[in-house]
Amino acid sequence: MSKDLIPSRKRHPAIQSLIPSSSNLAAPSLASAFSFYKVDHAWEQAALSDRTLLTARRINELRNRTSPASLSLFPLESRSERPLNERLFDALANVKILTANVAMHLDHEWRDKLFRQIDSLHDPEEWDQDDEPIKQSSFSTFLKGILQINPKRRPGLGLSYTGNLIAAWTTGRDRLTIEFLPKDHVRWVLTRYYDDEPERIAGQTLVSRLVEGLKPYNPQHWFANGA
Amino acid sequence: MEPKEKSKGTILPDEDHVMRYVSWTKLRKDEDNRIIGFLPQAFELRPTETSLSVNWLEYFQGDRVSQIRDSVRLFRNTYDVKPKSAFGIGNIGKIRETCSAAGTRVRIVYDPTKDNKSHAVVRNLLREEQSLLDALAADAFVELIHNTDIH
Repeated sequence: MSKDLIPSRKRHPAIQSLIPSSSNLAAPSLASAFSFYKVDHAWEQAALSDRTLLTARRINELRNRTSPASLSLFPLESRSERPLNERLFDALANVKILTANVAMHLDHEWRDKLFRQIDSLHDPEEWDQDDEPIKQSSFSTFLKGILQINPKRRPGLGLSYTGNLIAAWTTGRDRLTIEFLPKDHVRWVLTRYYDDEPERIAGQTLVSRLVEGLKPYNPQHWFANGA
Repeated sequence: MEPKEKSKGTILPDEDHVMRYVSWTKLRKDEDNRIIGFLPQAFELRPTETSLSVNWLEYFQGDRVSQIRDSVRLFRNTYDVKPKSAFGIGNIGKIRETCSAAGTRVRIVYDPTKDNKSHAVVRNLLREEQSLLDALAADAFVELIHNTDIH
């Protein structure tokens, strides 16, 4: 959405936050602006384009455990006795349905890579019977986080025992690991080496605070291309 | 020669090593799925666990290569080891030092089972202490053995 569509004198702060900046981390992304801002009022709906309103609605649907529009057929949050292949298939299907809601914000090539990575985490040949497949609520948090961070370098992925998606970036010996928990929470730990000594920082915040939480540690060290 | 014998509950010496099984989902990878290490979660206790399960490497006789091979084979006999998994090896003294630096005093104790006479456990590991787990992944378990490399 170009800022020229909305004259500056009419620009509400919420609309201003939609305007992309040159820095990925300098201003809230489109996703963060809408994840935490409800477009309720008539003037808001009048001021924003149909496309933007649709995006806002789709992002907010990620916050709902059971959206009326959800195509998720199975309650994946609780362990079931269904066959393994079925559980894995359903978990992957729900991830892809969630992704479709925000597909317009994801680079096509990376979306395909993301699916391949998540598929590989759920390969039945590699599956540990005591593990849980990816939680829909964790993946929802991941999508919000990754849209905010918008890293040029994509992460490697892992999965916790309880089905939380893990994103990991590594630059030399320096490491950043983020675990995406349900209900919009994230847990992260980073290690940077200075004169061969590690400095290690860990945090747990809402995903809306992730960018702010990482800012003091120069996250571009991991997120930028060529890092 | 018979394998080393110690009694259950013996604290293992700092100069020895332990091996941890790490599944594909807990391996640190790049965006192209190339393995580059271990995630902190590889050393996290499961909800039902109270200690971290490992093999004591020096239980096995022979040179280091033989010890590693025999330990992996024992894992395969007692656990459902998957093709793309790996094993982490850490020096016991380094593991204790790493945990101590993070404020946790762990004990690495010989804990043989009926099926695995090399079994040991890391006790007193803090649950969900992310800094500690990352330190274990990066600084303590510094050797990675791919399952596919052991025949």
